[in-house]
Amino acid sequence: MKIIASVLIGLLRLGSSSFIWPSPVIEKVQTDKLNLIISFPRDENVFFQTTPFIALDNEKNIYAVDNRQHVIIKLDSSGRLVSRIGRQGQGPGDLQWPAWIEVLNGAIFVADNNSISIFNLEGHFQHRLRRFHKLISMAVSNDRVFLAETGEDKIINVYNYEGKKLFSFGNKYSVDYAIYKGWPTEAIDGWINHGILVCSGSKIYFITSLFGDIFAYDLKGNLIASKTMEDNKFIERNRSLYFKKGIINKGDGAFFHNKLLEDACYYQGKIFVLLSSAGGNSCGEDIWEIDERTLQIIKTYVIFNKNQRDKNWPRSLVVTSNQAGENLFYVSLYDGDDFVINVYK
Amino acid sequence: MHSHGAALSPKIIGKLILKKRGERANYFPGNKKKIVFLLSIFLAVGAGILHYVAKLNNCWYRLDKQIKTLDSYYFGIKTAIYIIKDVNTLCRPCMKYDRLKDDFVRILFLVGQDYSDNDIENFRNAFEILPHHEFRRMNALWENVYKICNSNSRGLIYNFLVIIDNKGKIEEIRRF
Repeated sequence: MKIIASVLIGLLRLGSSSFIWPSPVIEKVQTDKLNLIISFPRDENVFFQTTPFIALDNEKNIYAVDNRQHVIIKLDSSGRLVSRIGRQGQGPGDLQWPAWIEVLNGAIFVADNNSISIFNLEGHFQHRLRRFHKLISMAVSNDRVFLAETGEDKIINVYNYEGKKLFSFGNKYSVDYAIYKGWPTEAIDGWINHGILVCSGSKIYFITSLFGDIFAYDLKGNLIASKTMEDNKFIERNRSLYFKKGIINKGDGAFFHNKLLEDACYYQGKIFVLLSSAGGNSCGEDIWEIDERTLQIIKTYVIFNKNQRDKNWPRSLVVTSNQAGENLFYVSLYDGDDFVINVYK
Repeated sequence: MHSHGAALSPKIIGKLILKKRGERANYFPGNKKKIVFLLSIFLAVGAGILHYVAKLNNCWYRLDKQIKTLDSYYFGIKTAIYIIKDVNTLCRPCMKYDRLKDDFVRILFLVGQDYSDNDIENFRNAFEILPHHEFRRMNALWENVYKICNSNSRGLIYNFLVIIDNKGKIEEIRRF
């Protein structure tokens, strides 16, 4: 009996550590209510014209990309303006419609309409990598830039910091383009394969925005594990819409109304996923905490009640911790009146 | 009182200002008001068109002049020059390239000054540019012409495709 049991346990462990591992997702897990601690910016000279993408450095300075002002706004940990980095334009150090931002190892990586610009934390421009495909999302490791892009066979392209393309990985979803009746294939690819890249330092996670599927790769692009989200009506509706029915007209809903998640980040062995307003409403939750090893949701967090969720549109998430070791959730959102960065605990 | 032409005669002005008893105010009486009104619209539209054409011509003129500074190598045969600084990935990059590359046309890509070798290689791979189609970086004069050609674009920044015939004369300028 002992031998059979140990063999079974061994097989289970083997199963958990490799390859595709579909399992029921939204199991009964602990749910915590998060409370607002502080709201940024706390400086009368600073305002956001749109919901910013955010990143933090080790000093908890906040780097907020304002897409409409074409700048990075650096705030100190108390929310006071430190500097504005970049300006609108085409030259080195200029930005055009910046979107994604990452801060790592004393460098700021910001993706705009055409390139990835690299600044040091003081805001001095270092250099940039030109992009030639539509960007879906970005992640950065110690020596590489990972870009999820449309336009090629694989979804994730890997570059070194100097812009040399190293390799590509990540399969796209297989889809019957014919059901879309007239939409260009690149646009369809962009919707269906839309997702968030998260780098843990030793692994890359790609979480799809419409379906919540998680793919874990090593830094060489080998698939280590994946997990399919199931038992979720919102996701099932999206699967039916995007794989069986096809988007035919605007009555099917704009892409951003169908997104399950908005952003994701990695912190201390966990992947934190920020649900979209629509996704949050369907699940009654706002943030999922996912174990990086099993890819299981181990905890969920609620920020808004249902009425608030209709008015609050979250966009970006960063998780860090305070001196007491408690997790702090930095969430940028539109609260119905202003574009703000709220910190929850 | 001297008349300053029919359009501003005291009679007309009077009609414009005075309100007849029992009638609705008529600030534009008779056919003359229509003529004045239409003339002013034509003038405004005409001035706008002239301004636009002047700007366009300036771009055309400057490009024509600048192209002649390139190696004469390019003028024995029909040539297409792509002047590209930023590739807006939301729009169609490299307009007409798929068709032009199959024709007997020399193709040159002029890209921004700060394009690195890696950028150029990534560009080639992304848009499947054939190996014999050359890339060069713009110099300051080209950058200036690029800026002039974008001066009328109301904040949008375009790239350009210039088609040159085998005598070095510009046939067509397309912006994208």
